[in-house]
Amino acid sequence: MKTVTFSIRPLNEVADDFAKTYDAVRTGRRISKASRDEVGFTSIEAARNFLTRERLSLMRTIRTRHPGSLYELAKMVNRDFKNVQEDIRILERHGLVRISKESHGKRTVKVPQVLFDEIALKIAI
Amino acid sequence: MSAALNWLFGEISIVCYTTERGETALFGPEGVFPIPLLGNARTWCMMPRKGTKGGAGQTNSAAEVDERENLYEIVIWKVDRSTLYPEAVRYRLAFIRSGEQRPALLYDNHHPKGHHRHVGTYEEPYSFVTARQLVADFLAQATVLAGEVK
Repeated sequence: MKTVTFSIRPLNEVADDFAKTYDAVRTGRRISKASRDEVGFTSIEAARNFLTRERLSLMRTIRTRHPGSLYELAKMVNRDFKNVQEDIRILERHGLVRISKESHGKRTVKVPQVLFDEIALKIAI
Repeated sequence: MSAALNWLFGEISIVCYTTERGETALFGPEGVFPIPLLGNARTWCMMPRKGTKGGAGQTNSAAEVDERENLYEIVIWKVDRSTLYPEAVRYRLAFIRSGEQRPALLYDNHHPKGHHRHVGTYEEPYSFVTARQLVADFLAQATVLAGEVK
């Protein structure tokens, strides 16, 4: 099972990490590599706004029903194609969804894939 | 985006791809630029990361999303220490408004400009004091932009 982590990190923590990493690199110390399978959010609200019911449903539908195109996906979830396209673009930007292009004769079809099976929430207290 | 290119050419810092609107764009350290397609774009868009161009040995990056889906990209590359990068650090601090591709605010230090910042299309040198001050200045400016209703 592949997991993506949504980590809640306030911007001042990110700033602190940047300053520490910068100085570590400058003085030739080792730096730990940031995890790639992580999406950062400035607050719980930011994560909640990002992960809408519709977007979650898109990811589920892609994983369980394997639509062959964005158009097919839009039909499966019974939503407007343009809105689905916009949501997919955002999910793709944050590495949750990948679009592979397949050519069917003269047409190119965008096939959506989800890269993870589950989302974990990480909050430092 | 360019898994195949990556597989073919190893780590590359600038790649060329076609946007949704069908125009060719560069994706590089400064964001996405639409460019006219000239000949075999792929061959001249490629810039190897390794080497004296300030190639990235190791990257440490954070992409943070705020309540309005604005994006803060905070990236540090560990590069070979040279006259181009005396501190062996290359960075990119970008604030990208929700739904946009080009940063509304970008601080970086690529050669030959050294420390500088872009506010929209305006560019100016930045007088670097410390990394802490740099990231604080960036975030202060970015949060002002994030608060503006566009």
